[in-house]
Amino acid sequence: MGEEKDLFSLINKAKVIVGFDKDYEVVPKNKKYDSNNSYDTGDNASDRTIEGSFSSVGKSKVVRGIVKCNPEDIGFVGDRMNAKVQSHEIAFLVHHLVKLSNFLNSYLGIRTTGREIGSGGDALSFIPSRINLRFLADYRNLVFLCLIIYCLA
Amino acid sequence: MLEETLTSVNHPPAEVAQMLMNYVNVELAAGGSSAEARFFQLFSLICERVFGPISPKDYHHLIGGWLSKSMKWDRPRVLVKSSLGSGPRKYTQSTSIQSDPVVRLLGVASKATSSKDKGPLTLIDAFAKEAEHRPNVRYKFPFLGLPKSMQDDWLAMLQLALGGTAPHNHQPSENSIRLMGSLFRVKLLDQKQLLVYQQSKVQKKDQRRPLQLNPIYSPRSPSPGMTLSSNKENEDVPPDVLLSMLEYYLVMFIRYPLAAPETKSPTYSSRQPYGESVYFELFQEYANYYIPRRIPQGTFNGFTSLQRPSEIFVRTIIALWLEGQNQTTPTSEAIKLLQSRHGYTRIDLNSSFDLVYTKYKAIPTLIIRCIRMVINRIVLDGAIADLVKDVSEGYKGQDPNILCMSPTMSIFQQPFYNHVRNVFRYASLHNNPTLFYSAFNDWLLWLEPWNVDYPIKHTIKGMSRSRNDKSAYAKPNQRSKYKPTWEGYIASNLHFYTVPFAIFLRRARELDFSPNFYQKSVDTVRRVLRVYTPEVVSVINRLLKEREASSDAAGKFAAMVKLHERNLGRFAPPSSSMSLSSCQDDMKNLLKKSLFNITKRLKI
Repeated sequence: MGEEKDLFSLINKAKVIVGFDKDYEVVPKNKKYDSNNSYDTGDNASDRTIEGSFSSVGKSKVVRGIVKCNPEDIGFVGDRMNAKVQSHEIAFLVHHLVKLSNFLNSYLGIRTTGREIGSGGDALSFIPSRINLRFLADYRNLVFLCLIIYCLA
Repeated sequence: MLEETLTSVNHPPAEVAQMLMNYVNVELAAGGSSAEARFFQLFSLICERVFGPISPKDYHHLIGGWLSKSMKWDRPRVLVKSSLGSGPRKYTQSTSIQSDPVVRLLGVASKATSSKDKGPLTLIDAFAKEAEHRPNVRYKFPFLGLPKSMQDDWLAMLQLALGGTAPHNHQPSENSIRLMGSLFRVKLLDQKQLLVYQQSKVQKKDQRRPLQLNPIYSPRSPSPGMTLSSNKENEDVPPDVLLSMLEYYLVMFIRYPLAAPETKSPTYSSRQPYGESVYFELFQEYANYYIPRRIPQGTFNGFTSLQRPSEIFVRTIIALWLEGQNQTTPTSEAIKLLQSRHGYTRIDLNSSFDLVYTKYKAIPTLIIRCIRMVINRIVLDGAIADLVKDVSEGYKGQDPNILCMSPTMSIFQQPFYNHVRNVFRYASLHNNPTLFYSAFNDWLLWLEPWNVDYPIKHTIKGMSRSRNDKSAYAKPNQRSKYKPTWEGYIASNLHFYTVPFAIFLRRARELDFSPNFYQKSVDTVRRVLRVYTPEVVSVINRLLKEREASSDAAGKFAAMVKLHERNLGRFAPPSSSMSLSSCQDDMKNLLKKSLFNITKRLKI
């Protein structure tokens, strides 16, 4: 992506100017980043509930300044079918496919359950509980489908 | 006839300008004391017609001056040759602003022609000539129409000249001392009205302890009671300062954007008022004339000497536009203020943002454009390139203590440094961001004179227009043309590479990294970071280390850094150690913000 490339070049220049370490990363991938910062290194297993929100322990830690939130850790909350258009999707297809999915669901009398809602999922989450054609707006899926069609033809 | 025309508001400006040009080139050029005497009387009328009369209430110009007109005025049909070559001659009417009679009258176009073929004499030439030959002809300018800081400086200088002490430890700026103290023809103590005004102010402040004045300068007063009564009378009458013809015109002209009446731009378009276009055109011509520059010659032969009118022009700009609008707190006071608010604070480069204390006032857009023009003129002087080359090869010249800058640049360095700091600290990035980005562009231009593509010799006379200068702004992905020969220039401007950079990094977090503005914001950051190539960074770091070292550490450019700090005077950064690495936190925050905006969009 062009944006990531831009950012990469900015980071490289910043290293030269303000003297960051050679292996400096803006947000280290192992999450145990910033060894100088004890905020982020603590065990946060008890800080959150299964749904991802703060437990009372987590809340008190935030209030006391022992931990801080990393925007990277915030999972998606909401209905994935109605989420904003993502960078790997074709915008106009998303809108039409979501409309079509909603129409089919209501036509077939399928009740939209909360199973797909939320970033987590149980063991049966792979079984679709409703019709969601949004995957057809995904570039990657479209390429894959085209390849299959090409091979079959 | 001319007098009547000038007093009437309804006469078309172009027609009146044409008449004045004829007068200047025929009657005045013929000479004679009567023509001169008439010119002295006409001068006030001309100024009133061009700028509009000054309101005695708020000292702003009233509507009616040519420069306040929003609509383009009719021009007489003058045919101008439009094509060259041997073919049949075609003539068309010129529509360019340079051919406007008002611009031709007040501009300095005649200077662009060769010495043999002198163009028509313009008014500014006539003003300069008369100011030179008749220094005793003086005009009254309302003192209270000047910016408050200039008034304070003038009064403080008067008090110092009378042997007193400056009020409230108010130190007049170096620029004011030079401008009002020695450049203006009328000397400080000859400004009688101002003396009386200043004395009455002092007495009013401290009735118990009247100021002991030299009897020559005190108003004639046989008894203390009479002194007070005469002072009271004088207090009611606002004082005037006396200026020569050229000084009066330049002060009036440069002050105009600050005191211009509010005009509505033409409703049918978003174009700027025509009067403003004329002003900007005139300003460009004056800047080209008064701020000399040339193309690189290969070896340094000295800078074009700064004539008195040029210095008055530059210093009046500083006094009215930069120091007059925003007065920056000196570093020592800023440190005290900072530490009184936050307790003991370690002062390093990271404190640069917090060390800017100003009652900030945004500058009008027209002035922003004019400052841009001035900075372009200053930085694009090829003589600087010659000097840095010679200095790197060991040139010391007659003066071993030299800065790699032109005289105009040296004069402008401190006020421009404060201007950049103020704008970076206070100007909005989102609500009318023109001021911020204008100062940003000017700062980058100042940092990288090595990127300038100088025009070839025979086009130097034609490189006056701003469209040539605009190309000097570097693009985000443009390669730096820095060469080690420019080290002297960095030493002469070291704190331009450190302090505004630190303030910018702090403010850059406010840039909008949302999808619609992401590229613009990243480009803004990239344009700054591209200046700091590894070579430039290593020079800066070395110079900062040498600065810390004791005076006997004889780095090649250490003396230049000291001179640079002396030039910045009370506004130079603290002497404590400074390093670019102290900006790590701000840089981290900036990078995190831009990264999170990308990842938010990618991952949801």
